[in-house]
Amino acid sequence: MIRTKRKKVRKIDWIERIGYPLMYVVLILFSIYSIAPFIWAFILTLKDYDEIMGSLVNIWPRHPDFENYYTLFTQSIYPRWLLNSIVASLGYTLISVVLCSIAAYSFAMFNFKGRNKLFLFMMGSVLVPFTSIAIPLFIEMANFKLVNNLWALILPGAANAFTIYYLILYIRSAVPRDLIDSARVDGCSELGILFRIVLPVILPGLAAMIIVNFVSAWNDFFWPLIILRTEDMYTVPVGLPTWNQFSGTTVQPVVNWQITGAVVSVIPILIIFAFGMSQFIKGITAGAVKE
Amino acid sequence: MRVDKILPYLYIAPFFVFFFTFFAFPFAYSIWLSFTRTKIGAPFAFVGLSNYWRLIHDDLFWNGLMTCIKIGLIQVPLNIGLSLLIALMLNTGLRGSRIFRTLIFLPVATSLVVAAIVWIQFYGTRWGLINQILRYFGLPEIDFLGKQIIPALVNVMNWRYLGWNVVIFLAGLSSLPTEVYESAKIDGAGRFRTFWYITLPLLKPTFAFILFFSIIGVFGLFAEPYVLTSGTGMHGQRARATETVAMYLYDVAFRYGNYGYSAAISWVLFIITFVLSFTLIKYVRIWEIER
Repeated sequence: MIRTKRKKVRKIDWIERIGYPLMYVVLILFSIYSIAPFIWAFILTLKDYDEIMGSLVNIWPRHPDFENYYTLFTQSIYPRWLLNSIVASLGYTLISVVLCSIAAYSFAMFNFKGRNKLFLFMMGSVLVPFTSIAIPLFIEMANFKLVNNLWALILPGAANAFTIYYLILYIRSAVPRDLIDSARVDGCSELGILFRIVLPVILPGLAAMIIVNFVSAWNDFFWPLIILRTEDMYTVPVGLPTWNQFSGTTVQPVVNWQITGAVVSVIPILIIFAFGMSQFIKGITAGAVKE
Repeated sequence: MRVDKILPYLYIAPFFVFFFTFFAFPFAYSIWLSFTRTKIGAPFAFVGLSNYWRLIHDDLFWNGLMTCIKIGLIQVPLNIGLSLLIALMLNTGLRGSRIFRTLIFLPVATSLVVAAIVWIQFYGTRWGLINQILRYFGLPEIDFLGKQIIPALVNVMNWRYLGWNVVIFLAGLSSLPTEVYESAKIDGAGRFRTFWYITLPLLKPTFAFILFFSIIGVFGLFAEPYVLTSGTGMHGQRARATETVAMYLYDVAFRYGNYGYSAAISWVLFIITFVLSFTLIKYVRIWEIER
């Protein structure tokens, strides 16, 4: 129970007077903390190699230009990595959303034997960290002759519990059962119901899952690092950290390209966020809230 | 048999074909692997529990596990505390809260690899921005990528996940019933009492959700320490202090080719995360289909 206390009233006024300015200070500090690395990385891309590695404090580049971006795309292997990332992420997203949305429709709208058991079995997979299946999955992929192949990034993980769980909840809340029943009475075929009634209604939910799956595939590191073996098959996250160039006897990373490549790889995600940040947030917070 | 009897199974079939091939099978296969000697350059043999026996006496395995726990015990409470604080501030609906939310959320757009690469530009002993500034003021340099690697690592993780957890807390906060707060106000409950006795208990599912992902994330920690310590090739030997279980597992499997032993490691890792996350889910009941 909450007991009434008169003394508190004064204290609250005091909190309110300094509370708001204090909150702004804290929020501004954390905003700077969050975006400073982006800004610093961008400034670095305008410098040349020697200036980045130089020990002089010159925050702003002496001769700012986009030379690094130009050479990154014309002289380095980076465009190939970018293409691999795009193909793998799009492929993964497409297969994942198709598989999960059709199965989610079945889970949400049909009562079939073994449904709850299958659901529990499937949801159990969220308790298994990917690290635990990575090695056997690698051996399996070797048997499928898919090592160093982009299909190895597209196929595993496409049937994932988070996507289907989100879509089941979404279909249940967005698709009225009556609508389906009346369509059935009107003689609409089952596939017609799925493609012409259910899919259009759940498009916002699909958009959320398209964004979430694309971003997670784009940023994935552990599995691509395991399965991709040659430089020409690397995705951007696999290629960047070990990007080296032999100069004399020492191995030096190509720092200017590395940073520029990192900045370029964030741009597609920032564009996605610009249009679909709220969808993305809906996607990642599913399950955090209990109605 | 009528079509609508088998229809739901047809809809879930493609999903479960993928689910069995790329999740259930490798998962079961990893148990079998862990009881065998499956090693490149050595004859295959069934060895019973000897991989597990070796694991109990393996200092590197325990070191990896302790690294994860140590980093987790620092990073998880820090991140939860900071993100809850920021979410509470943003939830007051002060002016510009949308902008703050967006800015603090931006690091989520980066991959862990990009986050680490960008932060290396702050950390570097000779050329890093922080040390350049320290040197400018005549202060001693900080060896972020050596002696101070743990704080440096925790900071990268915190930077990357702060906005992520802020939006999850915001989703949790916005779902709280307003009636409870109104009656608390009528009862004259103070701000801190309301927070302590109403908000915190009601946020239990949100805490569980964040903790769940933190457990999986901490024990699967790989990309950030991998990139910070060894990836770029210029920061010296990979430090023991930041070798996580996942990094050790990766080495055992892909540097030494010992798949059987690495499967045993992954199983112990699975059991640890399973016990922790299952307890959490059972206690707070997130991810359920039946209401």
